[in-house]
Amino acid sequence: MIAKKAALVVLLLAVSSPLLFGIENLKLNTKLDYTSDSLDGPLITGDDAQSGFVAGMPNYVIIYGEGCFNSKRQARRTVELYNKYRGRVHFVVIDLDVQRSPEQQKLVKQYYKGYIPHVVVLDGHGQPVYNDSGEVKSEHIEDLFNKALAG
Amino acid sequence: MACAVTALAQPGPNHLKAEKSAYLQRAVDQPVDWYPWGAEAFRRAKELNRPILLDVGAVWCPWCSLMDRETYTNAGTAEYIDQHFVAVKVDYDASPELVAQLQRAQAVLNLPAGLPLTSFITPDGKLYFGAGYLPAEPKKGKPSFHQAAEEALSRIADKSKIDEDSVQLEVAK
Repeated sequence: MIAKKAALVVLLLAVSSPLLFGIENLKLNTKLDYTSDSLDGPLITGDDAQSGFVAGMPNYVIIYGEGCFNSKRQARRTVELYNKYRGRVHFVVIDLDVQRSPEQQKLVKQYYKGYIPHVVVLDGHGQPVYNDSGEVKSEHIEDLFNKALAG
Repeated sequence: MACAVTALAQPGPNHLKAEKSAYLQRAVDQPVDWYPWGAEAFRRAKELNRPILLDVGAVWCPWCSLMDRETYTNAGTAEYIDQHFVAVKVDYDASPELVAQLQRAQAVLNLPAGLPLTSFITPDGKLYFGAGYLPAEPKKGKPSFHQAAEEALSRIADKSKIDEDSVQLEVAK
């Protein structure tokens, strides 16, 4: 019985531990209009949405504005990437239309050049391997993830 | 019962007449005394010792159009703006380097940085406060244009705070 309880605790810790590290359970806003700059609310929601950089694993950072159809399209790619790489890559979602946490502001100050969306990929050592404005294809980001995870 | 009266917009012209961009041309007849971005606007701000109110928008941006309709074509609001600020309008599409700098400045200050971009800048070029779309009346947690403008006027009085919490814009030096 005690062993079962201990196993359950371990299992619960394993399942909930990502919550300690940052945004999880990313969900795409289902009401997004991808053809216009309409304001449809936050593009992506999740638990602990104000999280910042996490060391020891690759990080993907999206900096977006809500009323921007390029941001909406990149948000859709972001959630697809999250569903494929969750647990192996840390995702940071920064909404420029709302107040941001000090951790997120560090990333904004370090990498944001203006324009939305802006995407940054940091390898497992925290070095930027992609840092640019505009939409970026998922295939390119996946290549960077795979290299970072292999290295 | 008092009726809410929206003052009718008075035709310009302001200082945008010679501008070629569609977004600025659209604002030529607005009652706000808009200037294009440049030395003349900053010179005027220094002469009057007033902050610059900067609007960055684009013809394709519905929230910019809404703000034009709700706020910048309202004669009462225009009068308020012209009494307290030097107003500058920038076309997002025509000035990419300037816009990137402005968006980055607002992002660094933890202010909204999307479109429209509404910025408040000291006469010597320090961006110290800003917002995105501002409705005519407060709604859904967003302050109204008037509330934001009052906040900007109150903040500029504290020079030491501005020195520590602003971004110097390169182009305005």
